[in-house]
Amino acid sequence: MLARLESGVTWFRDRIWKGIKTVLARRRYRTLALLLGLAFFLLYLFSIQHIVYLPNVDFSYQASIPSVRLVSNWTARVFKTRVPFIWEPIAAVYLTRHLMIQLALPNLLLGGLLGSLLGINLSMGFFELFREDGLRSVDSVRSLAAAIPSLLTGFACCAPTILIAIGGSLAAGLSAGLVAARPYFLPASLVILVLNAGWTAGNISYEGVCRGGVIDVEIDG
Amino acid sequence: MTKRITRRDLLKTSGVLGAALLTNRFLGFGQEGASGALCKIGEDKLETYSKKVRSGGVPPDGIPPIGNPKYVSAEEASSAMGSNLSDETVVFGVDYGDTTKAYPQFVLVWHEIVNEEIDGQKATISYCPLTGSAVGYKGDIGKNSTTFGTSGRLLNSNLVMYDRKSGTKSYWPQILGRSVRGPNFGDRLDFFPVIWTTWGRWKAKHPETKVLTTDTGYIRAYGSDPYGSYQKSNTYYQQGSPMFGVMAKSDRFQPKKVVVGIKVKDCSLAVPKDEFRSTGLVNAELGGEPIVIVYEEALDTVRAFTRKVEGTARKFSRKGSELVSQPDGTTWSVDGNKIEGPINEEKLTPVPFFDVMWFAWYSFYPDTRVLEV
Repeated sequence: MLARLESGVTWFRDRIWKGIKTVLARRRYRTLALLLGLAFFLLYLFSIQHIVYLPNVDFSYQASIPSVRLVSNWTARVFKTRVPFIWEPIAAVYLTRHLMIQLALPNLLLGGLLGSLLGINLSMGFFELFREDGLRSVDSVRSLAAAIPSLLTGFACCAPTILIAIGGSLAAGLSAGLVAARPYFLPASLVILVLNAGWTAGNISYEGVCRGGVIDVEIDG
Repeated sequence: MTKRITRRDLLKTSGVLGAALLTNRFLGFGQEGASGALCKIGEDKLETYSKKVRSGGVPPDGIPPIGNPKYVSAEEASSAMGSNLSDETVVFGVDYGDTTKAYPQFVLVWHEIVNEEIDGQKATISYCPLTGSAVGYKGDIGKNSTTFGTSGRLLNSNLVMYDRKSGTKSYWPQILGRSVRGPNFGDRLDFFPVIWTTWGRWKAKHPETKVLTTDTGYIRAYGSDPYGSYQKSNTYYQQGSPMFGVMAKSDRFQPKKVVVGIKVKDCSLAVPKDEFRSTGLVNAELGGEPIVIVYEEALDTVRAFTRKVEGTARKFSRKGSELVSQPDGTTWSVDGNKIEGPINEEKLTPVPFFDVMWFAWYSFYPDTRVLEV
């Protein structure tokens, strides 16, 4: 059992982690991963309505702007779910009269994880797309396409709102199915991102036979 | 010189006569006898309701009821809630027992239930945004007293509450006001009126009112509404189909048209609110119970009371802004408080009534009568 675990760790270190390091060791891809991850993180918070900007709504019922508010019984609320994968905010930052950021710890962690995965996936995709060592392949397109399922994570919270916007009988027909499917959106996109990251990183780090050539990808800092 | 009678004069005269007739209308609904047996919702029907309860995609209390409501006075309300509380803001008013309180819609849309006490008795103010219905229920079920939570489930797009004494699998659809599942299966909740009006109107009538604040213990974007807006004309609240499936559909009115649903036991009557404004008053009989339906201009609301006062069915008419019961001649305010007269009772007894979207009322009560106005 221990031997299997050890070989698994070795495999992860030598294949997956090495591939990720290969890409992130380059400053331009590291920056790209960081920026894309951050952008997605903010988009995720916006999509689950934890970043709220409403020009026609006045948040000045708070004592002052800017201000921070922590709910009194936050320890009891920190892991309380509102809908699957959306947790109760335990604090809020009111930045202007029309902009508030709700802070739910599990969602911040989840957003960070998703953002990191997305950033890594996309930077590896771009790495493959622009590499000059003859290994450019359809994998690069697939890696970039991995960004699409991550958008499902935002849909995980907002499906009913989107349906209201769609309106009409189409919404009525879709709503029951979407409500049933909604809990699976986030795990599905998470699994896709992890698998894709593993697959792409594995390819990048593969030093042996790869489409007819022996290529050693060096980490050049 | 004789004045020629024009077509406009004739129309005007017929309109005045029509209105005069309407204000003293006497209509019978559900004339099945005093028991109202034919519009009974039996156990089999309740079981059908239970089977049709669907997930709304949120866990129990995922839409968290307010259990520790905090209030401010009308004067303090503006500073407590900013410009979100304008004169046009929709509020749900409770003027019952020793309580005069306003519950802003923009707060309740995030919570749907406020558990509180009125006259030392547990009481629940419930609001379902998907069906546009705000209803008050007392917390007594038989000898037990309870509070309510949101089950996270829907029936005919309507909020399904659960009673906290029986657990999250006890289902009480808000519009129905009866248990369709759980140890209290078939039981009814006692109703009290929750008035759908605006802050400006409520404040003018009840300057002493308290107002529910956004200090709910939860963080929400109070002032925004995830469903639509009552200040616009093209959102979920005004147009389109229901969000979730319903058990029965009618194209008599557009789905979101506001009707005042009136219930006597299980006999039901829908009063189109817009049209009833010009009617003002109707004496009716619903399921064998004599009732009077009145329009209150100050709050732009429609109320319903039993006409049976001190054991005798009275007939009501309007005298200016007041009501007069006959044959005794007692005068009453439109909200049912006695002004003067020989009757000893101080208040008229309301029968369950509340504003609701037509599609939702019809889906619960497909046999409903509709008041033609």
